[in-house]
Amino acid sequence: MAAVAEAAAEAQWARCPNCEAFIYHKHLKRNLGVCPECNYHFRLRIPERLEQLLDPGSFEDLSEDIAPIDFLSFADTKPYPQRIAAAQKKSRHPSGAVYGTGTADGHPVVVAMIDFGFIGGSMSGAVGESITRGAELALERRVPFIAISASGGARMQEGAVSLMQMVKTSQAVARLREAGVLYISLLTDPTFGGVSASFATLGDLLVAEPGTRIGFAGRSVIEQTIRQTLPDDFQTAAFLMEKGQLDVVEPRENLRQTIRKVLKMHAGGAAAAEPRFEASGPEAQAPVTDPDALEARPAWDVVQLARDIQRPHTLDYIERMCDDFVEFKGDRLYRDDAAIVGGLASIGGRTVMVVGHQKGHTTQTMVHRNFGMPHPEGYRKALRLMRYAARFGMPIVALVDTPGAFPGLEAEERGQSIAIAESILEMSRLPVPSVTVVTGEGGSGGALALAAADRVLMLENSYYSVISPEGCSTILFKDASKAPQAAAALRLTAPDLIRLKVMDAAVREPEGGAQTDHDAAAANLKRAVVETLDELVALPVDELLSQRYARFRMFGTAESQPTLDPIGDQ
Amino acid sequence: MTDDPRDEARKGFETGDFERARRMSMTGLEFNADDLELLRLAGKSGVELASDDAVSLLTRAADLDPGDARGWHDLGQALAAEGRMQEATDAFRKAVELRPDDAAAQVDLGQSARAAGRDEEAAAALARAVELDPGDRASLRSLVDLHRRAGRLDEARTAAQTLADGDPDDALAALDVAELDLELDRADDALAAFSRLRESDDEPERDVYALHGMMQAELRREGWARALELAQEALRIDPSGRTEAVLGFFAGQAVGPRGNPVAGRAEADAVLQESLTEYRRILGEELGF
Repeated sequence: MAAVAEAAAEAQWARCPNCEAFIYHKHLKRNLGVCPECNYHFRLRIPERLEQLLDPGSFEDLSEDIAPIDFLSFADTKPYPQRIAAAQKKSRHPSGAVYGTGTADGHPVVVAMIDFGFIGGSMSGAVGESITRGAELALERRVPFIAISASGGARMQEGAVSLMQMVKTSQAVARLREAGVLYISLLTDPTFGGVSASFATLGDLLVAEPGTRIGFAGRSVIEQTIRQTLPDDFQTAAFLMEKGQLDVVEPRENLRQTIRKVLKMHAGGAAAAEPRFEASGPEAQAPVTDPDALEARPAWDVVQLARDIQRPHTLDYIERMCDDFVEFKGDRLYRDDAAIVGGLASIGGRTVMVVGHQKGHTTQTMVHRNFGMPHPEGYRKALRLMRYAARFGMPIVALVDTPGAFPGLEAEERGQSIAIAESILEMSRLPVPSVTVVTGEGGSGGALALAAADRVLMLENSYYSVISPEGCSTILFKDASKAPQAAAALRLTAPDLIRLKVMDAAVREPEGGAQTDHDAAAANLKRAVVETLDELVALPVDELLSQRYARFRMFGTAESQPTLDPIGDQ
Repeated sequence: MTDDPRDEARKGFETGDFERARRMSMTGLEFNADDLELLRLAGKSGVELASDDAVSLLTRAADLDPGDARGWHDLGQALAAEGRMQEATDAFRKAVELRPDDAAAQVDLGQSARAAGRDEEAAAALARAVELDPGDRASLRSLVDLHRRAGRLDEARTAAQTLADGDPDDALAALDVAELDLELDRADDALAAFSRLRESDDEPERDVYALHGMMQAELRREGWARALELAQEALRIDPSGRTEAVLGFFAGQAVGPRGNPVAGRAEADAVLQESLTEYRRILGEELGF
């Protein structure tokens, strides 16, 4: 009878706090703690979360000697030690946070996690200690660090000692950043205050589950202060993603796979100094460096081809060129700009950071992507990703296809010029190989922001120009209908740009243009990228930077800048 | 180590090594496809491992020995693990018919029936489960909910009080008692219950919810002066703006109209109820997974 009673007492059924559905525990567990009715993500305790993320039995808890301390001899309506004891009983955990080692798909990691069930996951000395020790161990072993947060903020009962955990943990993360050790921060519901304003939002990669609430001040405090009702999705993961503050929002079922993919690509990136790309398929055509080997197509025809709505864009190429890809979103400042995409990718066995302009193929997607015209936050996202690549020694592949940076009021207000300038400046000095390929339209500064690279290539039916032919026609030809002549005069096609040394090579396109056969276009592009990077990764960083400087230093000088013959003489 | 796959499978299951239990039982079934114990071990291990064939193995076991309550119970659990609640309820019902004093089977019947929307059957099974095992808090909590939904407020109140008496730290049970007292128009009892709730919940920042409950109780019994005092206390700790929204109403009732109160009586009641609903959700989230 005792056994029966025990079995009956065990909670085998859960009730969804969101939709109130009743779910058998094993069903819920199979669904990774996600309500099958409404997709509500139940809060996971430490064992369940680690079981979902790590290889079975791989976690070794190293936090057993960490315990909460009553530094202030604090008492409110109850002495703090009594609250600690109650939390320990309720959460069945001594400190409310753990750190330790484990593996994820065989990749060694250090993991630290806060349990929200222990005084709301608030940042105590013990919590800060787990996070800090975890980061320090990751640094010592040079393995990725994963921190899993859920917290209401600082632990009031520990006063300023709690506040100091924000610095303690942040400086430990800073060391990881300086040393180029990957730090993935998984923010779970809810993450607020002192935790969100310190280590939790300092990850190289910020990942959250749908519905997770993240913020500094609580919603109700803000509503009270500003006397406005906030939108329903305020401070949710989706809201923050749109506002550029998260890299990835993944349902729990995909989370493990995404994190493992990132770890795998980082493990591959460590060997990036060894040129080990597989040869591209036999059907892929080699890039062309001789301008006379390219068809002398009328410039206006090239412009039309470059603008073809069915021409492949960055995500089309990534899908075809990359074995793995995890898109990272957001500039961490203002917004995620859909006109620029980017993320960690594996091309030919090498981990790279891909960034590129993104247009759409339909009216809806074109509008969503703002026709490939980025705002400042798009360039800031690209720059953030390029810095990420530099931190981890990963080459950068940039794909350019934009009519130009978005000309708008808000773009100017948010510093379009500064964003482009900063991108050019930093890209010109990043200590990792970079290759840019203009795949469609190369519209002026908006294109150049992604093109201060070691090698700059273009697809044979793309163009690269200081201004659109239409703009040039209106301003200089005083006649909007003279765009074809302006296009020719601007010398914006591949042969001329190779002659001018603006371009290093042209990438062949399938007969009729890239839009006719995305696979073939991607195969040629992949070959060009792979071969170019093979060449670049062999160079020492000093040499790489020196060559890059020289590459752009020569433009506009009488000694080294080639000039073109008049159009009729070619 | 023994050569008998049944022993190996049994040991594997008992020690939580479900891979081994499943492998050995499947090996044994190759020689005797109708071996009941092996079918059950294979099926139950399959449930733990989320194998696709767990239900079919346990269905076969139940068909081979339809008089065995345990076999139907195992099958019900396998079906419930796949979210097939109607079928799970049918299997649990057969288990209960064969063994009415099995508390665990009554619990599963009650909960699966509840999930399948059969509230009356659920309430009967859970009541029986609690009779068999008075310490089963999960069933008691479900009973509170079922009775409440069916309008059986006295029964719900009794079950909630049993829960609260069993664990003074159970804030959800304390909230149930207090809310049910409100629903039963026992404002004095509700006040006392919300006071106890302040003791049950150890999180200081959640004190405001109990205060809102007390304000609601005072509103019901028109204890305006005390309601105003409570509102003033709540105002100091309430970041949500709810207290502020109702303060004018209570002030107007206590000391006469002042300006234009934001809320009337119904609005004030609704604002305070909204606070308690939020509180219930927070406590539910805390139960977690």
